[in-house]
Amino acid sequence: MSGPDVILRAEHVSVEYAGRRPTRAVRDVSLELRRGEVLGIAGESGCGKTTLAYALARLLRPPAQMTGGTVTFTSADGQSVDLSALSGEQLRRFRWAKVSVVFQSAMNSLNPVTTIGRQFGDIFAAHRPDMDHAARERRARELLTLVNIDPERTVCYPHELSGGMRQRVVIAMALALGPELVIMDEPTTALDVLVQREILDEIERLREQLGFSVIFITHDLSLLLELSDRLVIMYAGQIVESAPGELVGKEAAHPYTQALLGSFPDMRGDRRNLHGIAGSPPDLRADQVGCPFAPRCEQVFEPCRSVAPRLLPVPGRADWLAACHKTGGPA
Amino acid sequence: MSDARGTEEFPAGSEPVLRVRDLVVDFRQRGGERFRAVNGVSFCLEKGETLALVGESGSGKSTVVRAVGQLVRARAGTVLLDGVPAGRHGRSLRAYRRRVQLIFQDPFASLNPMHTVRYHLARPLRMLDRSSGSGLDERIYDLLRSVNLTPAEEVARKYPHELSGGQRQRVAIARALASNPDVLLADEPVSMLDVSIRLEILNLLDRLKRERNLALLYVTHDLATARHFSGQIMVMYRGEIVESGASDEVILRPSHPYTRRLAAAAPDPTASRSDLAAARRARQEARYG
Amino acid sequence: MSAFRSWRLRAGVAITGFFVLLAVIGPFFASNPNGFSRAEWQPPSAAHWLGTTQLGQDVLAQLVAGTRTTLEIGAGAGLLATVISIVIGIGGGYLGGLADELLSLLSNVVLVIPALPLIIVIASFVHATGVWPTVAVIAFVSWAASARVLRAQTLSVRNREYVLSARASGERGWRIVFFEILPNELPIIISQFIFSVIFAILTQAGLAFLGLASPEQLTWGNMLYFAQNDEALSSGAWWWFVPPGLCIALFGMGLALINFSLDEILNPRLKIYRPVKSRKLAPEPAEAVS
Repeated sequence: MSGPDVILRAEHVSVEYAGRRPTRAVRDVSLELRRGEVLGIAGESGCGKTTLAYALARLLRPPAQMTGGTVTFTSADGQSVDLSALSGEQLRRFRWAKVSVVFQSAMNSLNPVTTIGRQFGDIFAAHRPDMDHAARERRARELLTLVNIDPERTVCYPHELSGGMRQRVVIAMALALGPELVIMDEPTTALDVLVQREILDEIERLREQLGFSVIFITHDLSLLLELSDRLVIMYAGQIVESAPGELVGKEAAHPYTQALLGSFPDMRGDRRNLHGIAGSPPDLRADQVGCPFAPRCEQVFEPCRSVAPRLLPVPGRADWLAACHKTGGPA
Repeated sequence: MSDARGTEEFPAGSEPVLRVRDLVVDFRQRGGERFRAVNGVSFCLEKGETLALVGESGSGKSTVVRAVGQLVRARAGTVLLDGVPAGRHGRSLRAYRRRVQLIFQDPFASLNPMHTVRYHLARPLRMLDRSSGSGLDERIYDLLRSVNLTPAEEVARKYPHELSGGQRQRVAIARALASNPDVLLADEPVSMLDVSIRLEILNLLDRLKRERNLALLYVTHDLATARHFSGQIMVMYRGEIVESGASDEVILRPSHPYTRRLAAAAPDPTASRSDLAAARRARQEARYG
Repeated sequence: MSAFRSWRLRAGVAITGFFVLLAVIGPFFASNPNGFSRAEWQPPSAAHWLGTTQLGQDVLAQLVAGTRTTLEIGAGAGLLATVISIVIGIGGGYLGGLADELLSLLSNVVLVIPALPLIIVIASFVHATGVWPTVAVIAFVSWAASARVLRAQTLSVRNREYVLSARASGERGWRIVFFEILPNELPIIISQFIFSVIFAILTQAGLAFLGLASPEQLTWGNMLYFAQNDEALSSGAWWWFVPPGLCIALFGMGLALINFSLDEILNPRLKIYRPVKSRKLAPEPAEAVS
């Protein structure tokens, strides 16, 4: 575990979708990712986690736009770069070489009419124009071997591969230029349980081998409990809890996290009275007064509805943050 | 391979409401080849009980639902409703459909975007007994209230795109209940919903099952909810039932290797990180040598 | 309606609306299109805004009168073709099996036969005079492309879960086709209808230009025929043949604009976003914790 060697720092990031009533999808989010770590971002649909990921990777397109905050990337050689200030050629060189992205259902977005080998070739043509054909072919085969796919399959089309293999191809593409950070948005959601386990094992192995950092975004909290070093829970565009991944399963501080953990019936545990969370997330077009989770919270009390809780360390733990009046407070 | 329940004899008076025997479903693929999606599946459903059908995609579990719901023609096998072979045409088919209803997986596709909630519920009610007018409205509102969609008058006026995923699924359940069925076939009813909504919907189905003494077939790929919401489980792989029995038994003490792999692959929030790493390394060894 | 934010829709509706208005009330205001006069071959002037023909007829009057017949034929043929394509396309798509194979075969055969030669042959046999025979003939050759599109769409829609639910509820086949499937294909049907109207007008103009339409009918196409026949081109009487040609082109463009804007309106993913003026908002004011 390295010291405070931060590879990515987001400060006060806000993202808005333009419209008659703008939707404030991400509200004042700050987080940091340390080198070699897995940061898990969990939340349900509409919480803003995918929008946040796109903002971090500079992938937002109109009508979405970042309305505030900075994203700073520090590469291994110590150079820091303000991502939101990059443009044009600099941004292009940055993309994929330093930070790459595995999108949701990416395995279904592979070009169906070109071979896998050609698609790897496209990456190199765009980012490493000096590589000749032989070198590209060699590197493509290397990458397939890296993810445990027979390198002879560079001539295959996507439909000739199974879902799990396609997802591994996509991961290999994300690693093609040796990035320092890979952002994965629901990489295993569309996969079966067994294949999902395979892919997760694969990601862990690659991480150990190549040492890149990962931001792993999913709604499946139980996955993140297993593999993230640090876990961030998002609700209504804000971070409500930020905690060490290994411990949050047992000692969640925020009522939403607790309720979310309670929504997963434990396969091996005792049967107990299970219930989800009644109600639905707030409308992100409206301004929020007080805590966004207050209408659905079972531990709600007076200040919750009028005063918005800040994300503050839980008493006694500097590395555990929660945005809740019950737990947050000056450490 | 343990035999699925359904081949034993029942003492008189407790005949299962739905009995499926040796169901076989083939699909014709391009090039004329036949693909056997369901290969000799047998099971029975009892009133007031939930039977879970667990499997991955491609196992044929959705095809079983569609075949029993008569949306897809079975190549062989019998379906008995109260001991009587299911009607296949005309009036007897309609009578069967009234008693055996389906709930689909995708809440965004199971409601017609061009029609209001009211229309979706009015149609099955009308087909049941040609009711109309204010009596119809009252029954529509009753259905909506029974699935906790209130205020019913407001919800009835809405179009599907104005509802959330969970609300749409509740409408789908209400529609299935409109004809007062005895059997509900739920094909992955919550897998496309948010985690915190899933339990609400599953609890709703459980409550309705108890209140109305329904026989519920719960098809899912999620072992955890299958265990918690059903008394009996069947595990399906490539068109066949590979294991079946009481839920706790099958999941906590699986005997078939496939079931073991499924159970082992599920996330375990209680294991320590070192245990998980060790398990992972063992799997990689086994996989790649 | 927020749909009108699309400039294409505004322009398209304006153009087609103008011509429809012209067709409906224009003839009340224009002079007699058939009236001979002594002022032959006159270029545009105060008396005759678009000049006169070889027989001294007022070109503008002809244009206005012709608009009504042209639009009637266009809309009529477009409607008939669309109705046929719905029956064959959606019917075949839903029925499947042998019926679908046969209907599909029929569509493909009619589609492959070149339209204009077929129309010419039929027109010369049938002596397509009058509005209705023309409408029928044009519709007969133009339904097939639309039927194919609708069939493809139906094949996809019929497996959607709401259609399956309707079947599982016991709905009858015809009700499923009309109340579950058809409403979801309306956007495509409208789009195909507009295409059919454009095609019908162009085909009618083509037929007329080739002299296959009845000379008593007054349409834009017929005006072109007479203009060409009386050698307006070579004598430089542009005011005779340019206006009807321009009308055909403009009306076609107006319909096409509506068609394109339909896509933009109905499919939110194709929306073209104008960039919002970016402004950095101040971060949320910090709330005091009690």
